Amino acid sequence: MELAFKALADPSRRSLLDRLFERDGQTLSQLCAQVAMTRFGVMKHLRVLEAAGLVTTRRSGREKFHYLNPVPIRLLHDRWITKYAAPWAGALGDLKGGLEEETMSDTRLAGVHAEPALRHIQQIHIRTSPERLWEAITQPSFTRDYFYGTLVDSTWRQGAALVYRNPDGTVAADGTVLEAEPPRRLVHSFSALWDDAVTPDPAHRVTWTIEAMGPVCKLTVEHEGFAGETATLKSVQGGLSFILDGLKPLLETGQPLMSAR
Amino acid sequence: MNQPKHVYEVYIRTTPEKLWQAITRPEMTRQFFYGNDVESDWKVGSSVRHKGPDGKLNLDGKVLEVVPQRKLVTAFCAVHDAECAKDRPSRVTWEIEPRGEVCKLTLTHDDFDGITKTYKQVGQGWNPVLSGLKTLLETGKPMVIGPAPAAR
Repeated sequence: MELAFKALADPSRRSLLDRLFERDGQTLSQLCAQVAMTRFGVMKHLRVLEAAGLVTTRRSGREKFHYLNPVPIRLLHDRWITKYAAPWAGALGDLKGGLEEETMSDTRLAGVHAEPALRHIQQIHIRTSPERLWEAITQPSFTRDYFYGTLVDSTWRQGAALVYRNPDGTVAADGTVLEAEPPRRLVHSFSALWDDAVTPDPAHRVTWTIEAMGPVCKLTVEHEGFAGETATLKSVQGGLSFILDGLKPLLETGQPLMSAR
Repeated sequence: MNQPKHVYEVYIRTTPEKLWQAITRPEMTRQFFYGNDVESDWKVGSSVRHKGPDGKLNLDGKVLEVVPQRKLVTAFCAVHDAECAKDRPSRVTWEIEPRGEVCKLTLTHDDFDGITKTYKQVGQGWNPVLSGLKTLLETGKPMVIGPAPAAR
């Protein structure tokens, strides 16, 4: 990797790689014709590129052909660029969504915009697979450890009922499955029933979106369609962080955020 | 009132001491802050610099307020982006509240000149940082986020 970095540090050598990228399998004379370098200079640079594994050669009669070997560059990319730069790059990519950008700015944000947003969006990155994350969202053995102790119950088919029950059997919330696309997307209605303040509020909509990013999943949870600044909206704004921050260690460490009391 | 700002709340299973170290020490920040090493003596008025693995200065700021293990306020300028670098420095506040075996971390990014490029960019930028910080403190290992899936 050291050799590859050194080889790539020189603009003349990068220019030779660009020529091979345009047309693979060229002779020394062909390469010399395209760059402002002496034949000796091109030979010297090709030797460095070959030593770094970036160029391979094949002889055919009196001719020697040079080929680009992209593997070390791919490795550099995977080891360095993806690790450090991709998150910012990914962030910028997301912002290109135009209208999307204002929506995403609401992430983890509670009513601080000029106009009160009648929705609450939150995003979290979790080291897990989409399948396991889907299971954690839809199975009571998981929800009891992060969703305020409740047990979720549903067949998760479109049109099916869903209910979050407290350990004593009372209902904390219920709803209907509107869309289920395991392990990517789940949309359901949601009626909050956990106290007298929220119970009169009409049902709103919850969308769970799972995106795999290498070994990590990006989970976006959106609560929307509130009838106004309802008690349910305020409760969701205050409580969703806690739910998702409990889900994450459960999947990453097998332990809930807080030990059972 | 109603100035643009971003507010993030994260509950992390850790102590205020460890959380403070994670925010203020380069050997920690490089594991969750886009590979950046933080450099500062953490005295009010001192500079705070986040430098990439190549030594490039990405974030340039200044310490505005320090209450170790409780509160850190810094000026923030995203000099890695030519357009963001033109924005007046904004303000980042880290607040740590111990809650039993958990800490509640509240990060507030505000004092923007309206909806600036910096405001838009950091709206997405903080999420992976905070998720990575939480993973690092809870599992002892960094979270390496892969490339975003290709658009469908």
